[in-house]
Amino acid sequence: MIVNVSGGRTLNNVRADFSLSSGKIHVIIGSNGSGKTTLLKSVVGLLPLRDGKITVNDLDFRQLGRRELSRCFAFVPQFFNVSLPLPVSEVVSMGEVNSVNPFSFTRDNEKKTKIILDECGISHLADRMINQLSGGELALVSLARALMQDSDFIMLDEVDAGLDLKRKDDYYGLILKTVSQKGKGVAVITHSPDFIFMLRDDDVVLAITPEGGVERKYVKDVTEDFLSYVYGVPLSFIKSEAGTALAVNRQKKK
Amino acid sequence: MYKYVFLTIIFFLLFFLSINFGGSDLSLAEALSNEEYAEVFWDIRLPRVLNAVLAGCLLAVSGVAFQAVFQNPLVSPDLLGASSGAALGTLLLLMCGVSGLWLPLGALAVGGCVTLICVTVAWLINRRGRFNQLILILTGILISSLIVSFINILHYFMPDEGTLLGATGFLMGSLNGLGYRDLMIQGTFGGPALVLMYIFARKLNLLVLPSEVLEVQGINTRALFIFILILASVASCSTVAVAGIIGWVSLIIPNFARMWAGGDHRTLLPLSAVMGSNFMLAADLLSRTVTDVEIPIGILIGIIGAPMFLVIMVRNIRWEA
Repeated sequence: MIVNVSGGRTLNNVRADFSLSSGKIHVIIGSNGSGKTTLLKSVVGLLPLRDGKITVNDLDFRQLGRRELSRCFAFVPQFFNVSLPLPVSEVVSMGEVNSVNPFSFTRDNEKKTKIILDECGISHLADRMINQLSGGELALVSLARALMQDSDFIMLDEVDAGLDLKRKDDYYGLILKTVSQKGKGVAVITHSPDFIFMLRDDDVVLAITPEGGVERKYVKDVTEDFLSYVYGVPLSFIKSEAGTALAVNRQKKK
Repeated sequence: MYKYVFLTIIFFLLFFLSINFGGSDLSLAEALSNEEYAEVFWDIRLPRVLNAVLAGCLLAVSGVAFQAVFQNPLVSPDLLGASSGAALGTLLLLMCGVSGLWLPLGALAVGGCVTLICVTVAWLINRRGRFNQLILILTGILISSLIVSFINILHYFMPDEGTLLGATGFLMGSLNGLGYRDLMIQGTFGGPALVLMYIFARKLNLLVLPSEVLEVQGINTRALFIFILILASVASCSTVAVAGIIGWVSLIIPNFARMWAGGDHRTLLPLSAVMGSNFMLAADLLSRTVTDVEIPIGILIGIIGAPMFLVIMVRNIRWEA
């Protein structure tokens, strides 16, 4: 499945011309306030576009019904705010519900929920209440919910912001696994661009440039200069046998 | 499961006590042995108790629904002006000299209208965006306080003592003198709302989640919000229309039920319905028997309710580390 944004202009005037394809990871980077979240929300239809149009497999996005859209995108917000208690297993299993009709029932709901909780490694949380989880646990539950929806794309809005280094690694691992095993497409906003070193060469980086455009590059084409330009600070890649690290070049201020 | 059994036993116990004791010092055995007394029992005490059961049920369930819609455990159906609207309606009708069946029906209509106005105004304010609960809450508070001012004006200029007495009784909330007619009003409007709410229990679970997630998931959140709000408002209005403003029940009971049984609405709804009935029966029993003169149940519940609410609040506060 291919989602194409052509001639797009988001509410905060980011010009968007790019496409997302399933089976690939799309890392969305850009500095604070550059409009990453607005872009992501515009693509899934939570916010309108000023200009341009979005097509899903050459079909106009606006002509799709709610249910068709729900098979296309699942959205994972930056903060999964819940203030009332609800068991985690129920929260995850409801990811599959795509209608307000109380008589529309879902088959094998319980079994699917179990499998997905297992895949995400959170079976032990199943009976806990959602409003009592830690930030890291909540991020995993939120991802599990999105997987339950079984859409072609999963759109993640900077969910790794509150995770420690190890959890972040686990979380990325989980994303990679879902892409490679289920052939889903993923778009993920992150402030940790070193995530790209875990990706395959033909995965995609969508960078929001300081000029307010979206630049699409394959991971293999991303250079130190490009990232430095996007973030506005000098960056370098440090390669070793253990992998690649990203570092900010610092100097003593005179 | 044992929770249901426990609550049901308590329910029957309270029900029995309620029909056994009353203002007229008449026990069940006495009442049924004498024909004259039996009339008092069948026409006054029994309908009153049945009304209390239904009222507690409706108030608690509509509280659960409101808290789910607003994703806030400290919200109650009074918020959107259902109670104050119904009170205003009753006052106006009383002043016009209306009585009988039209009084509760009128109250129901005005209460419903006020709720509708709240939702419409909030909807007009943010037509473009998603449904915003905060704006709805603020609109509700504003319109409620506006109506309370109107009520006070009417109260101030109330022409004669008789109407004043009726109005005061309504504002304090009382189950005194409720008959089968009131039971029917509560039943015909509240009953279907109750059943529908239970059918939609799983959808109420959805409302607890962030709305932007639901939108992308294919749920028409706005329609669901409004549908549940209407159901809950009808349920609470139908009680307010016959029994006046009885606060706290819809705020406290859902919270206690949630502490006890968790937040899954498929268990929360029936559990809080029974708990609401139990609470109402107990409060009504107390209001009739503690003192020689009957205390209006609204006042009694206020006295019990405020400290209970404090307990909930303290338990709900999460201390920041």
